[in-house]
Amino acid sequence: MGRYLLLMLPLILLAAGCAVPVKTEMGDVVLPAPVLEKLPVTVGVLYTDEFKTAKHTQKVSVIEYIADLDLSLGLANISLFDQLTTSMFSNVVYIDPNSPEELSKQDVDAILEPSLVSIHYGAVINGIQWSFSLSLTYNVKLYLPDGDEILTFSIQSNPPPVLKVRTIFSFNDQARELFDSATREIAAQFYAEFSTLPEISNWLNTLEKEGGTRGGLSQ
Amino acid sequence: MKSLSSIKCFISRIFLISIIMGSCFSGNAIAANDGIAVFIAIGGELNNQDEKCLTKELRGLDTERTVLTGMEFRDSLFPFFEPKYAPDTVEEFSAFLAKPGIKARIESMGIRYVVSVVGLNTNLHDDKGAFWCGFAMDFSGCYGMVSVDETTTIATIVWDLNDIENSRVTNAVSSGKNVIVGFLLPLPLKIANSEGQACREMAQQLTTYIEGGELQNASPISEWEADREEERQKKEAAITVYDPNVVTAYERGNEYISLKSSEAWELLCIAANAGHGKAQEELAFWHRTDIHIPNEPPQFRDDVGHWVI
Repeated sequence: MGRYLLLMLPLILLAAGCAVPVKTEMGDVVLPAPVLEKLPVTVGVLYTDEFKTAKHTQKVSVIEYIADLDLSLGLANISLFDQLTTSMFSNVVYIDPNSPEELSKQDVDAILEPSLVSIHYGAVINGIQWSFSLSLTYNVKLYLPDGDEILTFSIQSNPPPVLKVRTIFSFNDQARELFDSATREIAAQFYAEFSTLPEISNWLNTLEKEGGTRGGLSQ
Repeated sequence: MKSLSSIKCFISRIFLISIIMGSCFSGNAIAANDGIAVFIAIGGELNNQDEKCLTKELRGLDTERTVLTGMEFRDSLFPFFEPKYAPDTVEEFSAFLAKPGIKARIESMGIRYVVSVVGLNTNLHDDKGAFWCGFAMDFSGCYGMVSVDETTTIATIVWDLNDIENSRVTNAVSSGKNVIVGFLLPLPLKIANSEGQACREMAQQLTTYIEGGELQNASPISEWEADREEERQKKEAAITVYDPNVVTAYERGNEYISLKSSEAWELLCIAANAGHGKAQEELAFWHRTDIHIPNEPPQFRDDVGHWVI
């Protein structure tokens, strides 16, 4: 530990008070294939332009530095929800938010529209060990093709920060590592809880009574 | 005995180890797979380095067996062994195994045992010798030698997926000695590797067990669950009976009331750990640096019951 401190000391003195830019694009989200029985429905997935081009800027004070975060999240958002929806539903079609007329043409049981509600990085410091912390929240809105809402499911992740002796050069990796942990937690929550929600059971029961779904329920 | 520090405390964390068994267990539903797979999940931290301790030892005992890492196992059963969802009672394991697709997946992996490591603690204690650091005229530095005993305890639950109610709890303990030599600079010489030794002993016990032998120091899972329930009730009771007027080293105006009873402090700590707001406030009071606190600081117990200041 002392050796790390000696190595870090010149860096700390040199960079004291400096803002360190962390400009990065969160790319593909890597998730394991879930052990899951797909819901036998056809769902239209609608990614808004805001969701597809989401960015996050924030300044986070870490020891003597300021991490100047400028993160592009659009690709990661799409990668995450592509995996969640194709694993959860037996059929998925994509709906262009800029062509509302397309909605009526799509033969879907429901429309799923995710949104990024909040993302916030903090810093956890214990002596010369530190880590970013992260709070990440998505909303998943599910509604019928006629616009009636089935439910809005909120998923929040606060992965535990791993305190280590780190340098300013690890700001970028830290932001990514924590985002990866958070998206894994988001996915676990979606897979484990979404299909058990009473609103989903009611919706599936209604579809069954009405003579089946586009995805194959009761057909 | 004076405890110097608790290096690692995973009491509230859970490591999970699955042992993939092959054809050595005839007559059960496990697919033929001549190997062992190990996975460890520790609380919310998915890639904890400490999982290597037991994994490495199990691999070393039989190189022919397959040993999977914790992440590989969790990935194979995603999301059911993520920290928030991992089962850790007989009831939860039974419910997990009853879920659609789980048995088939487990059979295809050849898994029979899931081992939860419920405690991995290393403590330093019984320091002997003399050590001095400081300045004196033309000299400065540290001089002397002190030896410190080190003890590691590792406790695991061995879940038998073919017979969950017959799962067992076991532990391994190992001790060693470390030396700190002072000659201008303090030089810690790590002679003991009690953690590695405890992992080795635990790996040996597990290997013997899965090859058909007896599990040493084992007790039924029902006893462990009963103890845990008792502990939970104790915490609940602590919240209920905690009274800041009795258990206190509290600031009331300019008056400080000191508490000397160790039992009362223990109650305070339990209540604070269990989430009691006032107890937490009271403990936080001792960490205030903006005021002078004339009382003796409180004493707290470490994981194995030693008093630390």
